[in-house]
Amino acid sequence: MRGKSFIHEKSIKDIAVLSAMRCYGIVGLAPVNVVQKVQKILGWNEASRGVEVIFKENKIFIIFHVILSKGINIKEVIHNLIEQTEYSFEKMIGIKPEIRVIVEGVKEE
Amino acid sequence: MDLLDKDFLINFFYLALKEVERRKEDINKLNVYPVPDGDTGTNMLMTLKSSLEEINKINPKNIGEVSEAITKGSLMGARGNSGVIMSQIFKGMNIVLKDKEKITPKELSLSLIEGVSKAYKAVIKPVEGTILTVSKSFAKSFYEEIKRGKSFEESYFNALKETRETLKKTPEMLSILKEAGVVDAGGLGFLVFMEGGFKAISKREVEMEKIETKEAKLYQKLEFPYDVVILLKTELDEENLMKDFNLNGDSLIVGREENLIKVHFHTDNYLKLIDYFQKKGSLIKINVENMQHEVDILSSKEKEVGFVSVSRGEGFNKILKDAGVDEIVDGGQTFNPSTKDILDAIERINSKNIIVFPNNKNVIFSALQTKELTEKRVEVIPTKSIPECISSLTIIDKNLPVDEMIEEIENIIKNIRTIEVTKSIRDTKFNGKLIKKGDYIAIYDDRIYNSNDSPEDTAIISLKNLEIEDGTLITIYYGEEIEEERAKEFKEKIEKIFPNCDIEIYSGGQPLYYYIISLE
Repeated sequence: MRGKSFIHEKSIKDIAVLSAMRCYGIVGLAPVNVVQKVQKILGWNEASRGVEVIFKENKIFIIFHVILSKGINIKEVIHNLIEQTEYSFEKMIGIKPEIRVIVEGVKEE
Repeated sequence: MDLLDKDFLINFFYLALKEVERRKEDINKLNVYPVPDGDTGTNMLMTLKSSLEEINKINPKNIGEVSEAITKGSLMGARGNSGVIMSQIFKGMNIVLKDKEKITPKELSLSLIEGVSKAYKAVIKPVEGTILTVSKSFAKSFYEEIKRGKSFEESYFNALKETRETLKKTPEMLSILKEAGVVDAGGLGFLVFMEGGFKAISKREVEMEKIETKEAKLYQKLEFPYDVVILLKTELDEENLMKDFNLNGDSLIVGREENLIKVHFHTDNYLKLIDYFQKKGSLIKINVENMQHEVDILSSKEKEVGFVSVSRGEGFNKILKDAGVDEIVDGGQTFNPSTKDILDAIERINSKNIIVFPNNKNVIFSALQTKELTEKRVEVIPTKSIPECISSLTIIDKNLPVDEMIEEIENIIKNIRTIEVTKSIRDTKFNGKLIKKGDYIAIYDDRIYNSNDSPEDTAIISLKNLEIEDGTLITIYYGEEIEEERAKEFKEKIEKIFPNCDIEIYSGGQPLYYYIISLE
């Protein structure tokens, strides 16, 4: 392919957020801390939705801060989230990100 | 009515599992959502097997303990989305079944309702058109049938029937399925599971569904495209703030820091959303972004070959699109598109190889000029009429390599003859024949037929002058000036004259030409 294309960090985050939203077993995304979150609102493009995107050594790292439904196979839900997110990225932008999932809590409905 | 005991549930579960095992590959084949990796059936089976192992391990004494074992086994051994969802259904059912010695069919139906409602709660935005929808359909209709006083067997049988209908509707609910031409794999898995279980209830045969599979095409249409963030200054607490919030959307997140509240929401109507919060406090900042835009750009997949066709007429445009044309350039006789028009269409297609159908001999040259002006490989097929393009694209295998495809198309076109019926706009001489202004003329290749009766009669004269073998497909595309009724009468006339040919008729909607007729 000729030329270069640029993908905005926001797009990456949107794809990640969409993946998490639709992943069965995940009932919420948790901000790392509320104070930071409110400050970050002013720069909405910054990490503010429980998803962090880090570019390091030519790789994209995506860190999800998730809240899971109580009484669910945590390992499998995380596995599904990683699989679905990788798929979305490969399909949409042809890049396979490194994904980390941090479970911030479990919630009874 | 006999009560259902532990042996019933074990037998039911075993037979259901066996049915999933038997039809595992059918289920796998359908798998396109959320990840098309063809493992839904396998995952479901592994999850169920883990439950069966658990039953065998504990040697349960009553139906409650069987249910506990199924729940525990499926939780530990859940595989894939469908497996996790099944485990949640079992978990919900267990709320009703645990501690029970035996149960009535009604209790079974109630436990299913509980199970499905549990399953719906474990995701931010339940996606309809999936196993969730299908299991809900079964639970609901089974419960209603029982409530109506139908027997256990009858109720279950009717619920299966209803569920099958719901499964068939899943492509309408989830566009990814529709585009791939499949029903939901997890939904089929659930249906198959329940069908297997029916063997524990009745000797009646269950109708099996034949479901075709196709390769998945991916395009995401967001239901709630606007990503909205609102920063609001308010004294209200979260509960009061959200009290009568009833807008459609998902991914609601509300965060608070003293008297500042940040709301994040995906919606299809951001004006309503802003309107709502405006009444709740003073807005500090609003940010709206259309996620669809980015998804569109990012998800448009490169095609091996793209097709550009020149066309005029709504009917033709639609037929061409259906036949697989990616971009249509408006143009035709007396209205030739420019090289730039064609070039723009070429550049719009996400593909390095483009085949152009000029569909008019006056356009061929402009089309050829685009070759010099783009990085892409452009091949122009010198089609002289739209039916040539339609027939080519309908017949060829679009997975062929470009060179082979072009060869194929050229072969197809050789076998297509096109007659165009129009009106002469001036007195003229054609091959020694005098044609008066206002005469109806039918043009075939370099032959021309005229009459002053009607376009239909002129067309028939020309058809009679051609050698038409039995079995020829005659396709009539009628123009914008011809009404459907009239075109149908014309078709009947032709059928009488050529009783051994197949006649088809479509609205081409083209201007100037009353009829464009193709023979192949």
